[in-house]
Amino acid sequence: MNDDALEPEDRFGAADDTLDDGPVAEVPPQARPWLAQQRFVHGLLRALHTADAHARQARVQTVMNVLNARPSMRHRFAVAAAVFIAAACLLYAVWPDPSRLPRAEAMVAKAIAAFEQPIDREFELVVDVERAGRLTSRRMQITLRPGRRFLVSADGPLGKFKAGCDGETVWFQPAVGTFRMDVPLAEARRLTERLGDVLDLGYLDLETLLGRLPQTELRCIGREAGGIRVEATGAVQLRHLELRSIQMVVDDDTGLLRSIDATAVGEGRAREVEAKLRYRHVGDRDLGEAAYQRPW
Amino acid sequence: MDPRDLFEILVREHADMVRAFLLASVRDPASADDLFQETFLVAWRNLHRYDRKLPFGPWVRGIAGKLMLNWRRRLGRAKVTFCEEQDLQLLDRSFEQFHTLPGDTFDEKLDVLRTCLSDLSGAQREAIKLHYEHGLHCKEIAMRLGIGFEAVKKHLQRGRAALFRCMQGSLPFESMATEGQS
Repeated sequence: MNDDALEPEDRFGAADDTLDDGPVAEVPPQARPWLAQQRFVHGLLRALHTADAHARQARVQTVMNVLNARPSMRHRFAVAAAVFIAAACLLYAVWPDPSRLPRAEAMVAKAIAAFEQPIDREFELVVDVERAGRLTSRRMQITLRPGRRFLVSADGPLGKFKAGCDGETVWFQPAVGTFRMDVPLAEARRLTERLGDVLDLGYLDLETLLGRLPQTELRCIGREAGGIRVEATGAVQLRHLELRSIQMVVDDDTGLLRSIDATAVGEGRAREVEAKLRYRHVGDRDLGEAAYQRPW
Repeated sequence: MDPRDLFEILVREHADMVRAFLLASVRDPASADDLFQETFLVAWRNLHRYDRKLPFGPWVRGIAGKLMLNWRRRLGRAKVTFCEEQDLQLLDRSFEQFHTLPGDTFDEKLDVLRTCLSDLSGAQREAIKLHYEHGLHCKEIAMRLGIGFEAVKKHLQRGRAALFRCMQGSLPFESMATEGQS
């Protein structure tokens, strides 16, 4: 029997994968219009039976909630990404020229050695922004391990979000499932682009801050409990704010940064804004490499 | 008016259409909902690229289509049925023609489908009701109706083809139904 004499369902039915989960090896070109027609009605029928007003309202509201929360989410992730970058390169940013601080070269060497030890270092980052007497605070936990591994978690208006990297894959798991994603480390920029200008912290752009530190004067202003307190002076203009002060404590033994305290002020939406950043090394743990893997 | 308020109006107006477009190719409803949100968020981010002289529907479906293709490449067949650029273009054409149906909202336009459903033959209507309204898999329908799995598929496929033809009677669906089916 000639195929042309058959009904489309008999000729192309096997290429229709809307009704079962089985794989379809190849779709013949002549089947495509029939398949498109089947899928069109399939989509309408599925929508028809799930198109109640309450569900529709919930979907629209979810989109608008996510859209309205997006800047916050972006900022939270931005902080995470910036801190990761900070942790990875801060030492070099702080000491671009070893001759600028006494014993800086030896300190950097010590820090690199310490940073290569297979332990998990935990940090806390707090960013407080005060605008027109109203304080907004963001707090996040960061864990770093050699081999480009990091974990970040924080609470936000939509719940806890997590981000991480196992040395090969960077992943992001927000409180709501929409933007859960992962990309190879080499393509991490794609992930950040998808979340907007990821390094823009809004009021306190840490990457810019770090990048411009070499333009400032760094000086040792004292010692405290096994550490050196270093201050950066000179005006550093961030995206929205001017950096007023930044102080860091460097551990004598490891050469690693124990803390950063930065303050910046400026005009944001015609109101005076003061932003404070506190970054603390809170301790070391042994989580192991598996803890950094994508959770799904 | 705040741009977000304007955008919310667009989302409300096109939400059902975009969801139906996604449900035509995305297997599980949760993934369709994820893509639904992603579609409108991408649309919001790229709103400055939208030519306001053109209708919003095709533009936002274009975004949904690209996201679907990306998902399919990443997640494979488990989530998204077989589709390529040209399949989505054919699908998009049908949605464009559906848009010309009488009615202010997508739901009102679906009234034509509701009417066509009531005109279906008994076995096809039963199979479609069990599959789409009650969410039964073809195998479950086969057991319920005491017929074979392939017979259920045929009822569903013929029922959908009949619905398409019926809607054609109310719409300028042009040649899509017969194209390539000589």
